Amino acid sequence: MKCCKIIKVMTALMIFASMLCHFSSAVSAEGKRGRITLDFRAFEGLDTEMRWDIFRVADIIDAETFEITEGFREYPIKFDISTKEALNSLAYTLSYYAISESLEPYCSKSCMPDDMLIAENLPQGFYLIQSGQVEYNSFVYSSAPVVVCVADGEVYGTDWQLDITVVPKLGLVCSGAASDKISCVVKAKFTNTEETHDVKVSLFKDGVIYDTIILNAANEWQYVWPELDNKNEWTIIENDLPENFFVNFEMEYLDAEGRGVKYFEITNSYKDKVTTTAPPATTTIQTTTTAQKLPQTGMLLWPIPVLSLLGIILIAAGSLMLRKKTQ
Amino acid sequence: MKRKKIGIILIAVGAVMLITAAAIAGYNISLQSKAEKASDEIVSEIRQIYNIPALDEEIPIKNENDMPDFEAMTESALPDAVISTLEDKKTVSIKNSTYTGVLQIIPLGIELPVAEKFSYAGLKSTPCRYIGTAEDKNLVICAHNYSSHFGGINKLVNGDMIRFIGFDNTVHSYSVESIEVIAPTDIGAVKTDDYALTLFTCTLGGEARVVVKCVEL
Repeated sequence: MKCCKIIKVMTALMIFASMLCHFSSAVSAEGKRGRITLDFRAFEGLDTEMRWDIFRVADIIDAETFEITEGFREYPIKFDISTKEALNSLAYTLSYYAISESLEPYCSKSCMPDDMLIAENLPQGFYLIQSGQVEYNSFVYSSAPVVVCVADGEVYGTDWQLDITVVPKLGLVCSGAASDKISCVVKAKFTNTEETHDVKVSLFKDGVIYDTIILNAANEWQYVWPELDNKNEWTIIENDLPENFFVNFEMEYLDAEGRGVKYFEITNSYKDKVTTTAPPATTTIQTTTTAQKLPQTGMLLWPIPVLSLLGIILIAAGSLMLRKKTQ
Repeated sequence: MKRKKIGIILIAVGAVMLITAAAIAGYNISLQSKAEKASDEIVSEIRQIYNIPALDEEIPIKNENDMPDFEAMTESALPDAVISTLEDKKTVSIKNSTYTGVLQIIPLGIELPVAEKFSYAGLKSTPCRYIGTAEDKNLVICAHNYSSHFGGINKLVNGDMIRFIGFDNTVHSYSVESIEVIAPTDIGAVKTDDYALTLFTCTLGGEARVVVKCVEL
């Protein structure tokens, strides 16, 4: 009976101690700051200044729970980072809301493409990195937005890093010749539900509202804005979404060679299922540093004396055996 | 007959071991020589752009009174996060690599470029900035233990002078304060703000790290 009591007390003490450890490590983890390096030196040929904005989009509660930051919280964004595709879609969704609602970036900077940008002293969390379109030599280029996580992976039991290097992708949007135009195509779809509703979509020209249309079964959930100016940045958002729905956007250029077509896909999903798991490694994000050991800075020297000594012993032994045989 | 066979096999295996040892030694020598050549070339290119003082040139050490008055700059006035370009950080790009300054280890007669970011590939040519900056007085630089890089830092003694020349024409002079051998897992010994400059490399066997800690003069 007494023994049982002691075990109970010991167990309670251990639970308390582990909770204390967890709490203190969480506090110290929060205190650590991170760094994002934007390496876009591959864009060097462009020779025109690019502006880069970094938005803080979510705080980390634990490895699977994130809280969208205040600026983005009011929008029906599904913070799904379970797959590479979901992460890409999340980046576009956050980016379009940031552009259309003129949200204030956490930090931003313009620089030439042969340089690198370094954002330091960043609190841990998720960040959206985006750049506007640039025109060079009669062509318009755009960089895909990316969402990255800056966090101490050791604390959260993930492969997140405090110091990350992002290599953004740059794509040709269209020819910048005045005679060439771009078309914007928007298509809506629903997942997780049989229930549909009219989808009210606004098109923005360089962050300013240009047109609003309704997508429904009558127009087969699709609309085309033809003959738009190719030098402007065109983005969309969905308005007046029913309360129980999330929205995510995806975008791709269907014909980047000649007359560009910007294809937007809007996905409305029912709110009952939210997946938040650790983001997969993507090709655009290269992680660096934060090893548990100091880097190996030595040459491979130890095998030299070992192999030499063994070699000499074996040769000597072999020679001895041959000599004995001859004798 | 059997004894003869065994003898021949032993000699053959021994010879292979000796050849392997020689090959490893040759490979190491070639790595060292490539690294020395690469570092020398980069320093010469830097010298064409910047006025780097010679190793034996004496540079007057800044008096504390020469330092700018930061009293007016309160902590709250500082931005929360800082974003800057490499150009802002006064770096220079040579042959697809970016360098943050030149390190001069005066007693060893060594002058080396320091890469802005750590990478194992970069480490094969030049020392790399591991963390920190000279401005923040917490610069940590690592390099391979090649004789032309940090192979000789264990021979330094307290009071020896080391200089780091930034590309914004700042010369930071340091004095060696301590030399330690630490376990590779002892990251805390390196990531410290107590010393303005820390250099580290592997010991000869590679199982530990030699750490040289310096204070700014």
